Amino acid sequence: MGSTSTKIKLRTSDQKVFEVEKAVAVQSQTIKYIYENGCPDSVIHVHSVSGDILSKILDYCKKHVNSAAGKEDISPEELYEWDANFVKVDQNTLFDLILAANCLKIESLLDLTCQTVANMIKGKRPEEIRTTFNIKNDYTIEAEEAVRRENKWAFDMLGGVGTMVIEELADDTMSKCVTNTKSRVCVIAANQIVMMRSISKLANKKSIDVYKQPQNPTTPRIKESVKQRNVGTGFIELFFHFKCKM
Amino acid sequence: MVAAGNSGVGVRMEGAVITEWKDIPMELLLRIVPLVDDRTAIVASGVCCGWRDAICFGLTQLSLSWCRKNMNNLVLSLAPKFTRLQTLILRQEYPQLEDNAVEAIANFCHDIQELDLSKSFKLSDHSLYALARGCPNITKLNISGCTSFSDGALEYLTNFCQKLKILNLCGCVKAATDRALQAIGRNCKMLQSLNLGWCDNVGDIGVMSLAYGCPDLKCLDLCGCVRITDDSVIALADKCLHLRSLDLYYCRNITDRAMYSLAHSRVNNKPSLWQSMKGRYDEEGLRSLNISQCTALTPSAVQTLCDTFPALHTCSGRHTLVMSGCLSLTSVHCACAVQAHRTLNTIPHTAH
Repeated sequence: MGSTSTKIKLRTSDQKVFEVEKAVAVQSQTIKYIYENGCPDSVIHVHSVSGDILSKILDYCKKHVNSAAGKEDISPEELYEWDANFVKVDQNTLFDLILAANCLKIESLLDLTCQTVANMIKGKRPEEIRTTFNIKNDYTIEAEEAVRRENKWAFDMLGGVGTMVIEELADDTMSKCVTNTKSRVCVIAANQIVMMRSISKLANKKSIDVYKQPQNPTTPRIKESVKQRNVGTGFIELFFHFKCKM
Repeated sequence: MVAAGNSGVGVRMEGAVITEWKDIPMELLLRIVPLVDDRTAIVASGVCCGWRDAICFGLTQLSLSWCRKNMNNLVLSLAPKFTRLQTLILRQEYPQLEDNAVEAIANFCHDIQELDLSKSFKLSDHSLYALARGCPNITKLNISGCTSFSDGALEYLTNFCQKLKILNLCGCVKAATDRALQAIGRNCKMLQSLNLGWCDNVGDIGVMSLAYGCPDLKCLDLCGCVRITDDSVIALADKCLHLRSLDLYYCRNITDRAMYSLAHSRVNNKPSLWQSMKGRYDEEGLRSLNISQCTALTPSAVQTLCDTFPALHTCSGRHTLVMSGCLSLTSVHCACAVQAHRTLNTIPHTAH
């Protein structure tokens, strides 16, 4: 079984050398290409990736290789959880990860990081996005004014007609869920953790904003941070079979 | 960026190392934007100049159907930015869109291929004239519910938009007349799907022109086109050999003649289809037929039709031959329904 324990050496931009199993390293299409077409024994230079980032990326690749090969006993849900935790990093690191995944051509990591960024910008206004990602506003005054107008029009749609009320859910601890599918606002009346998670998974698929209705109905609705959790599709299907009235 | 060491061969990265989100490579931003909703995509294009340029260059699909009040303003503001749009969905729940917005689209978005303007009650013929001039590459157009359009304007459009493949004119009573259909038959040779639902000005002359002019027609919806007679269906049977879906709901003038013409055409054309059509022989033929409320039809004609087209089903799983309101046709069954009847020996009868 010599080929499975072949090691490849990778040197990063800050001159750190990593020795990794071939199966792990070739998760990167770029490395795979160079390895197969270049000199298998020499070191592959990964100029644009630092040691810290490469270390993290190699963790990711290792986890996924082991999981696919059955070397590690991990269910798809657990792997999903692991991935979710993997991208819980500050935005600088996330940025480096996404660029490195792009440069190294690791499709699954690219999907994961892109989806993470997508989740971070959904439903936000430009100022919030700039704050999150530390982006300076480099618009001219006129352009900024145009952007402000556009956003006013784009966000001028919450609430209103076409509310679908889903009530009497199977479990009596769940209470009303109000979905205005046109404005993509979903208000959950009670602080139900399981419900929130399943709604959030649904919400991420359908771009529905999720809000938590506070116990005191007079306080303004606050947006719960949506975490993508895999609670199984059975619950989601159940969600749609509940009695609905317009 | 990545190189095999020692060999001296490498790919160097141009310029400085990217460290800021505002400089994120365009291909990455364009990978992220399709993952968010349309409103967020619009917002993202307003974050900074770099993001704006990337998104304006790369955004090809946009839907503004979620707008309740400001769709017109948004279109006026976005059309000059998103010039590479190919698909634009502007279906409205509340009529907002006006002619000036459609003119803006026609002025800036010349790559548009798919445009949905359904339920735009406020639009006038000016919009169609503008689209004709500005968007010649349209292949899929939905103007259902746009009751103000006239047939002259629609005719004008077809002179310029000859690449139309899918056209939805459901409810466009003033626009969908025989004159417009003749124009479509003359100009839109690539047409595959046409919806003329509830256009009660449509008559035999129009449909026959369509049949003669559009040999690729696959789907035709004549629901509520009460004036048409067997002649229309006979022309379609004769000329549109790829017809898959036909809706004749409420076409009360349709008789057995039409049914037999469809059946015979398939039988007669089998060998010539194989030879003359360089494409595949359409194994299944008609897959979906709605003859609800066509009360003049008799069971023998419809059963012949059902037997000729194996894809027409009356069984509950794949109900594609719809005969609601035709009480005399309850005995018509597809082959699998008959099979099931034999096996089970009980059948809760559903020819509805």
